Parts: sequence; C-alpha cells; structure tokens
Amino acid sequence: MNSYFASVEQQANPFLRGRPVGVCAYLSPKGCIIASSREAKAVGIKTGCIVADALKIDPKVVLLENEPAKYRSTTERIFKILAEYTDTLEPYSIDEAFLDLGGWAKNFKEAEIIGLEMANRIKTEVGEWLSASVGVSSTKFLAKFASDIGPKGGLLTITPENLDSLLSGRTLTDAWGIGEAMAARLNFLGVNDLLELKCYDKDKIRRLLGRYGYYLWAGVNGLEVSSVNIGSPAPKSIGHSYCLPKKTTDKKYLSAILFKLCEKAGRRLRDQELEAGHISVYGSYVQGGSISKSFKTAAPMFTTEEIAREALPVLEKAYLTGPVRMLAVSVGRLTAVSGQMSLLENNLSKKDLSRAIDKVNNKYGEYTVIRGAMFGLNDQARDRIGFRKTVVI
Amino acid sequence: MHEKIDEPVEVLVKFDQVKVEPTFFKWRGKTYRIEKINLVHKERQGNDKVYYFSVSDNANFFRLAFFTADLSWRLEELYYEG
Repeated sequence: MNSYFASVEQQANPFLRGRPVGVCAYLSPKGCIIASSREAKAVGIKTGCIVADALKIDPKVVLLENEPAKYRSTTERIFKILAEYTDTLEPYSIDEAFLDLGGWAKNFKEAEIIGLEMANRIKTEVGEWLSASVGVSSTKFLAKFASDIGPKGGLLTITPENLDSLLSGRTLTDAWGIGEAMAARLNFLGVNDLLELKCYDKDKIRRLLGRYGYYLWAGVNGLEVSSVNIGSPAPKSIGHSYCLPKKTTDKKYLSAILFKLCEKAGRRLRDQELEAGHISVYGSYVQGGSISKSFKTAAPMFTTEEIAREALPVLEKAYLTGPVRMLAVSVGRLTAVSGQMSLLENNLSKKDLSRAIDKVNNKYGEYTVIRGAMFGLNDQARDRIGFRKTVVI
Repeated sequence: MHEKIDEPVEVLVKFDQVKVEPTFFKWRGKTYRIEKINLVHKERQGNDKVYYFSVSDNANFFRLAFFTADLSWRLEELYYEG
C-alpha cells in the first residue's frame, strides 16, 4: 500500500486529500513523521522527517497523531480481500503482503488480472483513496522489487525477459535486504548496480559475503530461497519504546515508564502464550549517546514482574550522564510457555495471577487493573502503531 | 479546523443486508445529512466493540462512534475548512 497511514487518514477525511499530510509518532517538535502523503513527499516532507522540519518546509502541512486501531482495522479489511485469492497469504507488515498464486493463476497474465482486481476491490470496498502497488514475479524477492520500483498504484511484472533491463543501472539499495552498509561492501567488491550483482560469480560472493551474500545474489537471479509462509511468521522478539515527553535524569520517573514498557511487552508475550529468555534494555540521551544492555536471563520471563526484575536494575545501576529522551525494552529467545515449576519461588501461581489480570483487562479495557508501579501513567507510552507482522486476517 | 467533540448524538441508521449506514444525525439541535461514508473501522475497548464511521457532508468531516455494549452513538470529531 502506498503512503499507507497518510492515505488512510485522507480516506477518512476527504478534506485532507490533495494536501500535504504527515502521520506522526508524536506531535511534539522532535516527533517523527512515520508516513507522508504523496502531496507531502512532493514538497520534500519524507517519512522520517521530524515535525519541526516539516513545518519549516511547509507551514500548512497537516500533522496528525497516528491512530493504530484505524490502520490495523483497515489492514484487516484489505487482507480479508487478498485472502479470497489464495490459501497462501503471508502478511509481511501492516501494509504489505505476499500471495502465492501457484495453482490459482496459470501464468503471469492471469496473476496480473488477479493483482489488478485486488487493487480495484480495495478501492471499491475499503476506500477509493487507498492505492496498492502490485508486483508480480516468480519469487518473493522479485515480486517485492517489482512492487517497490513499479508505478505507484499500478502493476509491474518481472519476467526473465525484462529482468536484466530492470536491474541495469538500478541502485543497490533499491533491492530488498540491501542497506547502506551492505551496499558499501558490495561496492568494495566492484558491484555498483543490481545487474552487476546478478552477474557476479556465485561461489565468490558466497565466500566473501557468506550466506547472506548468496541470498542477495539468488534474489536478483530469480532463485527462490524462501517460499511464501501461510500466515505471519512467529515473532523473534517483542519490544516497546517510548520517547519521553519529560526529558529527565529522574530515575523514579524513568523506572515507572520502563515498568510500563515491560507490562506492554509482557501483555503481548502472554497473549501469544510465549516466554522469553533474552532481554535488551535501551535508553538514549537528549545530547546523543545511549545506555544499553542485552543479556540472556537465568530463568524464562513470562510475567511483567519477571521482565521488570531484569530490566529495572539496568536503569538503576546506570550512571546517567544527561537527561534521557527515549527508553526501550525488548524480549527475545521466545519459546512456548512451559509449566516448569521453580525450586526457588512459586512461579506458577504468579503466572496464573498475570493471566487473571490480563483477562480482567481484556474484558473491561486496558489498564483497568494495573501494577502499583504504573499508577498515574495512563497517558504515558500509549498504544503506538508498529510495523509488526502480526496482523489478524 | 479540527475539533474533538465527544458528545452523544441522535443518529438515523440504515441497516441493509451487508452493511450499516448512518444517514442523518442530530447534534446541538441541527440535523446533518451524511453524504458519504468514507471509512469504517473498529476497535475493541475491553468487551466493548466500537465501530467508527468517518463520514462527511459537503462542508464537514465527522467521526461518529457506535458503542456496541450499550448501543449508543457519539460524535467524536469534527473537521471543517477555514
């Protein structure tokens, strides 16, 4: 989907159409624009631009705070349409999905007809301002490449016949999975565009850049290295971050916010019946620089208290060199929750208590029952839109 | 101009076989005819499921919320040019 969050806002409110619109993580001057409308991009307000800079570029830009429920709900409606065309649909992000049309379309021509029909149905059944770019090809890598470089709101098919001409002269970072650092490494090997990557010696690239280098080479050569998954792949980590409205060195305040981030991560962890064996805690300073610590935990974490017991000491022990502007916590090494008892404490009844609190909050609304450490923080670290892959169809 | 309202409203709604369409609503003594339903989205608030209708007439954008727990309607937002 193109300029997705901004397009959804323009879909909801037609008076915003034709005007530069930026959907922001926060509306504070340093808040980041997470989606710019086509009109905003045309005047130079791009995704990633901060609010203060956007207002300098165009004082008339309409800046809106993001509304996660609106985008998730719209995505659900779009993905429901897509799911009618195949049994193999992989939601890749809040606004992207892969469809394996093998068995549903005999050739590229039929796949194109399906692609255009889906894009039209999104317009007629969800909203006429929502435009989808469709990429058709024989692999996930090339289909994504086609939708990225193709006409916005249109369709591009990559076949063996037009592949070389589309890769020729194309910047390396235009391809999925090649960032600035990888592009620099490829440049060092004498690879300056995607066609040169395609023509590079397979064994040599594997030797020099490892398995990842081979995946990129295979991608541009139209070799499938990962098929379309059914549904969203299981998450590798679950995390939350928050840009603080109050930049401070006050550890009491920072600890309370960090606890709430642990609760949010814990809620999602428990919702998926997972436990975590790794944690990362991160904080960044207003003046630049950061504190961070990542480590494996001695025991798996499931309850908010178990996550907080690992996260809070990182902050408590840290010597803060200046006011903190952002805090984040993420848990990884996710496995299905076990019923293993601990020799040291009654961990099972604590798990049950956490589940019971979640149940109350599911029924009566988020934060109906809260831990004392989070008292008074209802307006802090509210729900934010993520680009996570867990979209319900 | 964008305004947060959050006030109860009376709404005349058409229920057809596949969709629900608010057609008129009365707010602060004035009746508004809904010309277009631009977007419908939903959100869970605990056990309550709320349906939001982003609608417009020729001069205004409104966001109406329908709360399924008590079958009530509220006008949440208003946007007009100028």
